[in-house]
Amino acid sequence: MALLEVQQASIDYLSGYRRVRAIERVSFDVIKGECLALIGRSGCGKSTLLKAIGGYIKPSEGRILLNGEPIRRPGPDRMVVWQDFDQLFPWKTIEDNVAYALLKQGVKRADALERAAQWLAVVGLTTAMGRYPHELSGGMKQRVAIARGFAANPQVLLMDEPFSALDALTRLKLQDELLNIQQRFGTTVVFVSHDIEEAAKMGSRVLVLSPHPGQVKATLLGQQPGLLERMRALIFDESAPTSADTHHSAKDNHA
Amino acid sequence: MSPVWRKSLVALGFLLLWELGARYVNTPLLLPTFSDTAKALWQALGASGDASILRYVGETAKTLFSGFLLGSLVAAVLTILAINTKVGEDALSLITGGFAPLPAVAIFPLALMFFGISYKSLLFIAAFATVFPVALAMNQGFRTVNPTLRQVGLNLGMSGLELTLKVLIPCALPAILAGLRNGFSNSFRALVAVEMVIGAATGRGGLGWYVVASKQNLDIPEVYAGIIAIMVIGLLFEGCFKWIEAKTVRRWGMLT
Repeated sequence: MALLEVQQASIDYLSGYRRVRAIERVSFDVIKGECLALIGRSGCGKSTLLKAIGGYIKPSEGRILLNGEPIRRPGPDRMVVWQDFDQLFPWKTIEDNVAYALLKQGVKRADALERAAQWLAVVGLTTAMGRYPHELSGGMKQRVAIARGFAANPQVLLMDEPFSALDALTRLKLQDELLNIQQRFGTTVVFVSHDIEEAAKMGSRVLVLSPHPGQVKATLLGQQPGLLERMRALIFDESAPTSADTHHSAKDNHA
Repeated sequence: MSPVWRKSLVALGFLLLWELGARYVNTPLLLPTFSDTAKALWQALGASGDASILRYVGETAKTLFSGFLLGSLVAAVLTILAINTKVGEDALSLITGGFAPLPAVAIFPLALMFFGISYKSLLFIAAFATVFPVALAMNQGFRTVNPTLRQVGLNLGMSGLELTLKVLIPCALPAILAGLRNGFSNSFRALVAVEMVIGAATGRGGLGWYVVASKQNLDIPEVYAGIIAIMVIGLLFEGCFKWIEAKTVRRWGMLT
């Protein structure tokens, strides 16, 4: 059974008094241990979809299941890393920010601090442990958020364009580090991106969404020759083959 | 030169100007010298009974604190209502829209009608002057909480009261502190003014009354000493708030 199942999910949001459909009957599975990249042009509802998995919004139709149980509310089994640099509590030190996610789950203080220190070491921030978030650069803040996400030991880690606000060099470096950690610990990740190269690099599978409303256009296997070109064609060329076709041909290519 | 030295020098220059100017115009009933004022202040500090300025300081501080506390509590209740209900929000914006620009002293006659010439009237004015600046700032602070941090709180499994205490209030702290500071100085200003009126009727009261009574007795250096005492209290509390801000929101980079 898949770890996370999105079944025929449609999501609406209110724009003024008008109901707008952001996501239209989207279905996909997330397998344990994979990094699924969600990509699409802006307005395709990929962040909305991630928020629904996070439990912040409810689908108006369909279901989203984690281990076969419908998602009802946000929780630390689905830790989120946001794009916003200001996602750490400014009044807590770096160490306390990470440890807090564990304390909230009932881990003893000494253990929580030890695990926080271990995860901060993994992201290379041992020397910054006692500092406050405002003393850190954007890249360092995102590293702390990643450490917090992993430290809470979620079933699936949700990432909403976590590197989009970073400069190009830092972005590449953090992508490598994240891939490394994800593979080392086998953490399941859903990674939202609007950057084709980033999605191709991060995803063991890539889900391409089409906009207005968001629908699955194709599911592609990651790390394949010609992946970037295929994604470009799917995202920018409206006459590209429909969902079902690409899905199969992607699988054929793999076989 | 460090700013502290520079400021001290400017202050010293100002006092010197006062001393020399007062000696030059030589009208002790209008402008006593600084040395006479300092002497009067020193004596008033050391005196006992009704002549002791500390008694008046205590009186003002007591009313100010009680009024400020009461007003802040009312402001907190108003803010909670405003944040959780639509009606509360409309009510708060209407009330603050109307009352915030109204000087608290303006409703003093109403206080006299309701509470008579008494301590209660002073307390009412001190509380009234606190409520609106504090409620306005608190409401603003809660409405501008970074949505990402709220989502992080929810993500960690918090909700309701816990989310409010551990995420929303710390997020709103810069605005809350600024509001309390404003409320306090507003309350202090109004209180000194009404103390002058109430004191004249009852023959007792805080520093406002001390200044008026000294003037009636032609103890002019004491008038100036009283004004200085009022200034010092204001500065002390300003300093307290600055200290709290430095230890919290400034340290956390929430205020630049």
